[in-house]
Amino acid sequence: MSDDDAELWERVRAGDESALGGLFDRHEARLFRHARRLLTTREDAKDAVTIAFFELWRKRASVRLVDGSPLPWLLNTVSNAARNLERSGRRYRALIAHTPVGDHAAAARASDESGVLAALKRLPAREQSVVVLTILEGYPERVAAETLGIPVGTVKSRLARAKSKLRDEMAAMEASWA
Amino acid sequence: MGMNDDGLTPREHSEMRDILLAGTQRIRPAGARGNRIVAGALALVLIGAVSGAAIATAAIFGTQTTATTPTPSPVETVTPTPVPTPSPTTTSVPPEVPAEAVLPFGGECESALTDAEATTAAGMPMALSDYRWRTGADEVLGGIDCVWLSTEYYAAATVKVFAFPVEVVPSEVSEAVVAGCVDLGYETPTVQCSVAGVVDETWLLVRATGDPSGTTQAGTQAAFDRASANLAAFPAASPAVRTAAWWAPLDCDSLVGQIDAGSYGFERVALLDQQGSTSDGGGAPETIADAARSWCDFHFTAGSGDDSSGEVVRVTIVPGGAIAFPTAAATEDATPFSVAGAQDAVIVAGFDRYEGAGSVIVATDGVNVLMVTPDFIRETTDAGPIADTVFAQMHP
Repeated sequence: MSDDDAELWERVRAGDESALGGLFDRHEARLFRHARRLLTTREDAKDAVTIAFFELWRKRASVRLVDGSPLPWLLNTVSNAARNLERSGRRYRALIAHTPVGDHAAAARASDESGVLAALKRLPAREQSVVVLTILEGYPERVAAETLGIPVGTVKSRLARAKSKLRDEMAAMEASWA
Repeated sequence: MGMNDDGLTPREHSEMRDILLAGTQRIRPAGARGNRIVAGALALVLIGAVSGAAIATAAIFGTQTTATTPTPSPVETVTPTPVPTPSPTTTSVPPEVPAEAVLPFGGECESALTDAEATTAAGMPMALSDYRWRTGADEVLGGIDCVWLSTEYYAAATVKVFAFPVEVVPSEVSEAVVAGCVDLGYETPTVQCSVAGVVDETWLLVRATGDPSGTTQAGTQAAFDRASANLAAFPAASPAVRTAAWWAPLDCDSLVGQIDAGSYGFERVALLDQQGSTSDGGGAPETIADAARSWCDFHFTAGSGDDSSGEVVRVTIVPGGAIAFPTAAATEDATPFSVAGAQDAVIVAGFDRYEGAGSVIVATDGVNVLMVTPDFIRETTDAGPIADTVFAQMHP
């Protein structure tokens, strides 16, 4: 996969927008699935994916590929975009008094019965990124480190902190269900 | 979400692609003057544009909506869920030298089908997606279990090959295979085409799943014929011969009484209610390997009422599975670990072939393999005392 990615990437770097479309075709499904994990609404997930590709295009001179693929970078950027969208979405929804709050809660429960993803979304960005890349997406710690531009040891320590916080979150959540 | 959950529809894919390509005309590379403002403004426009469909796209950017773009189709997601089952081999007299299994295709999926041959079956480019490491369950049974995934579109198609000695394949599995193509009933048209047969005492199944325009019975048959011919080039598959050193299957009821909940930070431990359930159903080929492994799910809890909390830890063993331990030890993130009584142990990432997974403690006595999988939010090392306790209870 990375060979093909590398070829498309070279064209993207040269300003060939059709190659960006090629990368979109290759990775959209995985990125959309990832965005759906993090966002309550389908439309927000679509936005997060599209924003990530816009950012890829804008930052094409400096994006850090890992093993020849921009996918880890895109996954991380979708996470960042999702966080921003969720934040703005919360503000937006708060203004719409007649929007039934329960609908959003129900949607979240439907796709996250254990509440782990809800807890994941509350992690600081730097910790959420390592959980997404290493646990949810299955990349080796080396890849996560290269993607995020941090040492492997930092990936490990952030992962440990994230797990600890997730445990606390889950304990609190379970208590609230009791 | 799993692979079966709804992805973008063809229309959504096309709309987003149009917006993306139109947007590239407006965005200047990072570093160019004012690009942040442009990107920010574009993102705001985008929020409305993506939600507003192609008409809005064309209106905003002055572009035509392009023709349809191939779109991923949801495919069957299979996450094998083991069921406690006694080992199928019953030989009680151990040989002087343990007889190892003979694996079909020499144990290499690349020798079953090439990526190009899998591509023929699925009708789109495919690449082998092997396990990160192996548990030894297939290896003990003398089998192999391979998956190819679509490379251009995530999860749009799969090709699977299962090859096991006839004697280890339960009749409920072989009889459940429906020859030909069946519609899986997904929102996006998806078929599953299967061809199975016995070649040189080895049961062989080739199963392709994908869009009916590319995934066909003829393509699947061609892949089966190719795999059959390849299979004949290797020695006939056979399971390992059980030795006196192989562990007995797990006795979950007995084991739960040995585990100290406090060592894992909880007050109580019990077997999880759903013990023994399987999402694949008894007839799924993914369950063949269940004959070589057994597992228990331990439910740790503490507190009550508003203060209650809980976690699940899965313990799995593969009697005779040590032959595959080096594959775990060789994975990129493998970290040496210590389990009391074990000859060797490591912590490795889960071996899922489709996505990521939490880490696992893998320990061996040189003959058998023990795996302890805590909840992914838990530091894997915290499950060390559980591994120590279970390992001490293991016996032939």
